[in-house]
Amino acid sequence: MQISSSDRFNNLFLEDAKAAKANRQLAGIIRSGETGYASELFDSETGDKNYDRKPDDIELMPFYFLFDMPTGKKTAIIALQTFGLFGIATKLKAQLKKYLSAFYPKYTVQLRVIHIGGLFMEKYVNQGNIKTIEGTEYFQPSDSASDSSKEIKCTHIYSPVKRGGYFARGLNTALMNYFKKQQYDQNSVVHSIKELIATDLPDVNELRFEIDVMGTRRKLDLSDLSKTATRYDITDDVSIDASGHPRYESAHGLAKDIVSNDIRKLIKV
Amino acid sequence: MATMALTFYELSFKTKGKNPHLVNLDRLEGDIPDSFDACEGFFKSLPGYAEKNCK
Repeated sequence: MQISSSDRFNNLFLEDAKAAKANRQLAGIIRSGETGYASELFDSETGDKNYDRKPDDIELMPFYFLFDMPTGKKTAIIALQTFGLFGIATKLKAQLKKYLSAFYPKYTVQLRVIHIGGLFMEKYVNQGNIKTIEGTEYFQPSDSASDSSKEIKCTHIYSPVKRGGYFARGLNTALMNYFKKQQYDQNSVVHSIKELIATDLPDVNELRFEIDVMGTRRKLDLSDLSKTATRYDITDDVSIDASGHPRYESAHGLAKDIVSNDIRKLIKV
Repeated sequence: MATMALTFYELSFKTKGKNPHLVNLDRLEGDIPDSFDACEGFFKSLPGYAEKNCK
């Protein structure tokens, strides 16, 4: 495939697209990559240098996508795959929004990440096992000789004595009660945790839980749930091909299941 | 191995004006009333698209 200069600018290349009109789903693989920097590529086994990457090179990596657009709904759900730090969200969102806005000038096209809500949170805690509790506090140094403009960050991590184990079920139950009441009062949760695990957890500014949900680890920030994106780690569940990337059929199956079992329940319109 | 993940986004169409409201995905006013067809058109517009792959 030859890449034109305009294509290089757009930087999104469709490898495969399947349109299932019956259930109104579009899915496929988009390739994308970055340009403008040099690097050295080595053989990870022999240590030999294989290639000098030039600033004009583009490393086109494949990314799975799914659009779910049922009849009668007002919201389409889009799943985009990431690979390590790489993804297509920023480029795809910008280009799609521009394309659709030109088609539909009477409407404002909204395209945004779905965050974890109360319903979702409840499910995580109910199905999950808490592996660690991480409290972070920020305070000013009391030493007058120190630079008082800088805050000190202190993180306290608590985990069960047994390596890889979970906290007692009672902690999940206590947290569930808070979420059911739709009360995300962090101080109350901290108080409950102190009682349950009999610890001297200080008054923290941020509180996070690492939870194992059906084999997937999630870190949940209780201090601002609205900032927690619906991100599913599929590394251990997806089938990988010889290139080291997910097989389309495997990623597609997982994405469809998550949309129907989780996301559609969160986004009802 | 790099971590592979799926992140989810919502796409919707809201009317402009004083009382904005969301509109059904398949009932938009425009040359293509169904946004499913418009999104399919978007992918077809991307370079590298192969007609044989579209089932």
